Amino acid sequence: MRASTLRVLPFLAWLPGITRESLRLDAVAGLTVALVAIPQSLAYAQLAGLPPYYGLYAALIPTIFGALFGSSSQLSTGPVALTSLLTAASIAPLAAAGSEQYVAYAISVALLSGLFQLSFGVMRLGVLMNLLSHPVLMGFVNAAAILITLSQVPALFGVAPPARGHAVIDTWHVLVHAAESHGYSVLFGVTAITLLVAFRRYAPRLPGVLICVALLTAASYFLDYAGNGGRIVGDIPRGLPALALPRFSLEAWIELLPASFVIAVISFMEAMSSAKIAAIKTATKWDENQELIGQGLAKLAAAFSQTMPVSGSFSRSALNLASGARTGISSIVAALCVLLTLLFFTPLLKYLPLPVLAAIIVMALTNLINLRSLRNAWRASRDDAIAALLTFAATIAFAPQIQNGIFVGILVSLGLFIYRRMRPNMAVVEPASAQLARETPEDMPQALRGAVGVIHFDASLVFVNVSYFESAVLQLERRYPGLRFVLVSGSGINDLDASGVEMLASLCDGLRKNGIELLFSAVKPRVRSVFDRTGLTQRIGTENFFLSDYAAFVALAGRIERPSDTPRPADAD
Amino acid sequence: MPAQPYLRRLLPFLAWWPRVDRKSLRADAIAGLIGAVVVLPQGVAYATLAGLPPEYGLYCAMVPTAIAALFGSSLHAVSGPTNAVSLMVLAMLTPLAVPGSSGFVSMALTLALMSGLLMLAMGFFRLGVLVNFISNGVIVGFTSAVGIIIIVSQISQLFGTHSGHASQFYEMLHNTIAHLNEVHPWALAVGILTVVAGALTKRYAPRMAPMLVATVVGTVAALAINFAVGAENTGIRTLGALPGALPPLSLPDMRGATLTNLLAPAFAVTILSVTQAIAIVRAVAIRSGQRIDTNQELIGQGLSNIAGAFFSGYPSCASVNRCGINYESGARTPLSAVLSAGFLVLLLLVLAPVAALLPHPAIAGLLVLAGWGLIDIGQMRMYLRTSRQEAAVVAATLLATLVMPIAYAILVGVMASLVVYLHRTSRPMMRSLVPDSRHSERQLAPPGEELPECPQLKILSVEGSIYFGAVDHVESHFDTLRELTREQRRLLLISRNINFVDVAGAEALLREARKRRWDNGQLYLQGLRQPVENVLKNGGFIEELGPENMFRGKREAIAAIFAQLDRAICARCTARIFQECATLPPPREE
Repeated sequence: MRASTLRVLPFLAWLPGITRESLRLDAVAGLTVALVAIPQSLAYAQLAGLPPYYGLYAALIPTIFGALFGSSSQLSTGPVALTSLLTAASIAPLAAAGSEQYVAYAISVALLSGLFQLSFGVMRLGVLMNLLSHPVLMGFVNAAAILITLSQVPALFGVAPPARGHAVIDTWHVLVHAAESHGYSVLFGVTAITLLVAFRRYAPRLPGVLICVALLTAASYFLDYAGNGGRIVGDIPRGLPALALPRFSLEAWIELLPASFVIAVISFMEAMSSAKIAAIKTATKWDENQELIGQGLAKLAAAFSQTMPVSGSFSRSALNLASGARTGISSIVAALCVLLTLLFFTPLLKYLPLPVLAAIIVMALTNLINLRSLRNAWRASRDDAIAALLTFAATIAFAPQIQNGIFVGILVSLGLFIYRRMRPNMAVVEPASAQLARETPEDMPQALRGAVGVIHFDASLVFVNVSYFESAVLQLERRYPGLRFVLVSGSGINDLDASGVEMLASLCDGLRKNGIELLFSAVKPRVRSVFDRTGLTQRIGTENFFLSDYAAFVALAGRIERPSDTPRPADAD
Repeated sequence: MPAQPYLRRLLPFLAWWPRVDRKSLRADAIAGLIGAVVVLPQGVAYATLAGLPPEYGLYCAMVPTAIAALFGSSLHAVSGPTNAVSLMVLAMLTPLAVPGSSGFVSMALTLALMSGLLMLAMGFFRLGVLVNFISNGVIVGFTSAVGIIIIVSQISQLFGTHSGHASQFYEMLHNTIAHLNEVHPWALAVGILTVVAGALTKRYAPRMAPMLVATVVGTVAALAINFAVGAENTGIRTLGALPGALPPLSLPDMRGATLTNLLAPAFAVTILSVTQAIAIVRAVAIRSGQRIDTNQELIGQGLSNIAGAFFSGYPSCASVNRCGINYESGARTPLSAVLSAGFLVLLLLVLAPVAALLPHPAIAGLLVLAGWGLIDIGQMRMYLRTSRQEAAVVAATLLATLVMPIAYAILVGVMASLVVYLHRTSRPMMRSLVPDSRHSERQLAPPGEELPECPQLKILSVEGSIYFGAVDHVESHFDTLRELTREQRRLLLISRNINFVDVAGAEALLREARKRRWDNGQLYLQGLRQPVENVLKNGGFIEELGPENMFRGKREAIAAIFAQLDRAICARCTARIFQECATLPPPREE
C-alpha cells in the first residue's frame, strides 16, 4: 500500500489484519473500557461545567475518529480530566456554567483546538511538542490535579458551586460553611470514595466504577435522594447528539484562541504519553504527527457532534491495553456501547447522584499525581526543579486561568536553558603557561611564549554567548601586552550563527588594528562552511586557519622568526 | 583602602580621574568641541522626530550626557538624543497626547524617569547579561525597520506638507500619500539638497561630519531661495527662535494613570536603550582595549535618564555615531563628553539666532539621512548567506516593527530568535565512527569502504546537547539504529561533545539503555564531561545505566566492551577493526 494512502487512511494498515480471534479480544476490551468510560464521561462533563450527558456525546463519534485516524490502535479517546478542566478554565470567565452560551463556547474550543492539532500534524510540527519539557508538564499536572480535587469539594459537600473565583478561596468558603453542607450528599460522596478505593485495592479486575455507580444510583432511587435535596444527574435527553456546524463568532474565537492552543498542546501530551507506552508494550511503531492528525480529527468530530473537547485517556488506554485490545475495533466497540446507552439506558442514569461523579473524578486524579518525578528532577538538576515548581505555583496562582501556568513554565524552562548557555565551558590557556597545547613543536622558539593565547570554547558560538567569548579574548589582550596571536581551538564549537559571525568579524578587525592576529584551528566542516559563506574566511585570512593546534604552532613558529613582517603599532611608536 | 571597590562602584569616575592631566585635557577639549558641534543639528532633528519642541533635543545632550559619562563604565561612550529612541517616544506617546503639546513633553519626561529607574535597577541587580537574549539579527531587523519608519515619517516634512500625527507605520504611510498633492517644490528642493549634500559628504569626506555639512548646505539653500523667490511664496518653514541656552528644571507627569500607561513603553525604551548602549560600549572597547563593566554602564544610563527627567531631557541613550566621532577625535576620558555638554551651552548662546533659521525641510533631510544609515543592507545580505532561519528572524523583527506597536516588536524578534535557536539545538549531530587503523593514534573516523563497522558494536558520536528539546530527535535516531542494524546490539556513545544533558535527556539515555538490555545489548558512555556526569550522578541515573558502562578513555572502553562481545559472531567476522581482534583466531568461513 502506498505511504500517502496510509497517511490519509491509517486504519487500512490494521484493517486487513482483523481475524476472528482479534475481533473477540477487541470486543471484550471494548466492553470493559465502555463500562469505565460511561460513568467517567458523565463525571468529566461535569468537570468541564457542562450537563453530564454531553460527556456521553464526547465518548461516541470522537472516540471512533480517534481510533481510525490516529497512529496508536490502543489509544482510547474520549472525555478526560485535564482537558475538561482546561475547557472549564478557559470558558468560565466568558459565560455562566451550564448556560447555552457556555456550551457554544465549549464547542468552539473543541473546534479550535482540533484545528490546531490537525494543522500541527499535517505540517509535521510534532517536534514542537518537545518544547513543553517534562518538569513543566509535571508541575502543571500536579497543580491541575489539586485544582480539580478542590473544584469537586462543593459537589462532595452537596453545596451548589459558589461563584467561580479562585479555587482555593471557593474551597475555603465551603469548608468554613461546612455546617450548611448536605448530610446525605456527604454520605454518598464518602461511600463512593470508600467503594472505589476498596475496589481498586481488593478487586482491581472488576469494573469498580460501574458497580459503584450502579449501587449508589439504586440507593439514590430508593432513598429518594433527590427529594431530600440532593443533586442528581437528572433527565438526559434520549437519543443521539445532533450533528451541526459549530456557530461562527469571530470575537469569541479570538478570545478562545490562546486557551485552545494550550488545550491542543496539553491534551496531546496526555495522549502522547499513553500512546508511547502502548507502542513500547506492543512493540509497534508510533508516529506522533499521525497521532496529532487523529486527535485533531477526534476534536473536530466532537465539535460537529456538539460537545466538548476530547483527548486520549491515560487510564482507559491502559485498561484497553491490559484487556487485550489488538486493533482500533475495541474503541469502536466501546463507542457502540455508549450508543446503546444513549438509546436505551439513559433513564437509568437519571438518579445518579452528583457527589458520586465528584468522587469518581477525585479518584481518577491519583493516576495523574506523580511526585517522584519532581523529586528526581530536584536531585538531578536545580533548573528543572525550578521550572517545575514555578509552573506548579503559577498554575495554582493563575487559577482558573490555568493555561497561563503553562506559558510561565515554558518561558521559565526556555529562559533557564538559554541562561545556562550564556557561560559555557571555556578554557583559556594564557601565554605565560608552560604547556600551551597538548602537543607543541619541540623546537618552538622562545619568542612564541608570551605571544600566543589559546582559547578552547565548548559550545556553539551563538548570540547568547558571543559576549562571553569576546570578553575572554579582550581580557587576554589586556593582560598580556606582548600578545600577538589568539588561537581559537574550534573542536568544541558545533555551530556558528550570524551574531557569532558579526562578533568574530569586528573582533578580528579590532585586534588587527592593535597588531594581534585571530587564528582558528580544528574548525568543524559545518562551522567552516559558515565562515566561507559569510566572507569571514577572507576577512580573517585563509592563512590563519589550521587543521590542528599542532599545525598552528608550527606555522606560528615560522611567523615569529620574521617579526619584521607584522610589526605591532604599539611597538613601532 | 578596603572600601575602594564599593566607592569605585558608586563613583566610577574616581578610576580615571587621576589620569586627567594637561595633555589628556587638551585632547578631551578638542573632542568635546567637535562633539558639541555634531550634536547641535542632531539634537534639533531628533527632538523634532520625537514630536517634541526642538530645544529638548539639545537639553537632552547636556545634563544627561554629562551624568552618563561620569557614572558609566566606558571611557568613550557619548549619550544623548538618538534616532531609534526618539522614534519610539513618538510612536508610543502619540496615542496618549498630541505631539508638541505640554502634556506630551511631560509624558516624555516621565518616560525618561521610568526607564531610567528600570535601567538603574537592572544595573544594581546585575541583569546586564539579559541583553544576550537579544541576538544581532533582532537588532539588525529592528533598526532597519526604524530607519524605514523614520524616512517615511519625514516625507511629508520634506515635501512641505502637513499630514497630521500618526503612531503606526501604515497610518504614516496613508497620511503621507493622502497629502502628496500639496507638495511645495521649493521646500522639496531644500530637502533634497540637504540629503544629497549629506550623502556625498559621507561618501567622499566622512571626516567632515556629514550631518553638519548637510545642515549648512540646506540652511544656506533655504536662505538663498527665500531671498530670490520671497519667503511667503516658497512654503519653507523655519525652526523659529529657540528659548534659553540652559536647560530649565522640569517636572515629569506623575499622575497614576500616566504611570500605568507608560509602564509598557518604559520597558520597551529600556530594552532598546540598554541593548544599544551595551552594543556600542562593547564595540568601542574592542578598539580601545578597555575593560567594560556592562552593569556599571546600565547604572550610568539609568542615572542619566533620571537626571534628564528633571533637567528637560527626554529619554536618552548612547549614540553610535557620536561615540565613534568622539573616539576618532582622540578623546581620552569621559571628560570629553562632559565638556561637550558645556560647549553645547556656549554654542547655543552664540548660535541661537542662526539656529532659528534652520528650515524644516532641511531637518527632515537630516532625519532621512539618519534613517538611511540605519537600514543595514550589508548585514541583511550576510544573514541571507549565513542561514535562512536567521534571515527569517531578521525579516520577522523587521515586519513586526513595521506592523505592530513598536513596544512589542523587539519581544517578537527575541521570541523568534529563541525558537530558531532551540530548533537548531534540537538536532544534535550524530555520526557513526570506527577506529581508523591507518592512523597512528587509531583516531576515530567515519566508516567507509576501507573502514567497516564492527557487526556487534555501534560507535556513535553525539555533538550538541541532549535536553528536552532534542530528546525526540535523539531517540528517533536511536530507534532507527536499533531497527536498521539489529545485530549491533551494543551502542557506545562518544560523549566528549555532549555539552549539556538535562533530566529529560538523562531519561532518554536511560530508556535507550533499557531497550538495549531487553534485546541483550548494552549502552556505553565514553568521555562524559564533568557537568554532564554530575547531572547523571545526582539524578541517580548512573546506578541504572551501570557505572561499569561509563568509561574515560576510548581504548579502555573498547577493551572492556570487546570482552563482552559474542565470540560466535566474532569467529565469523571479517571486519576485525579493533586491536583486540588480533587475539582471536582467524575468521572461519561458514
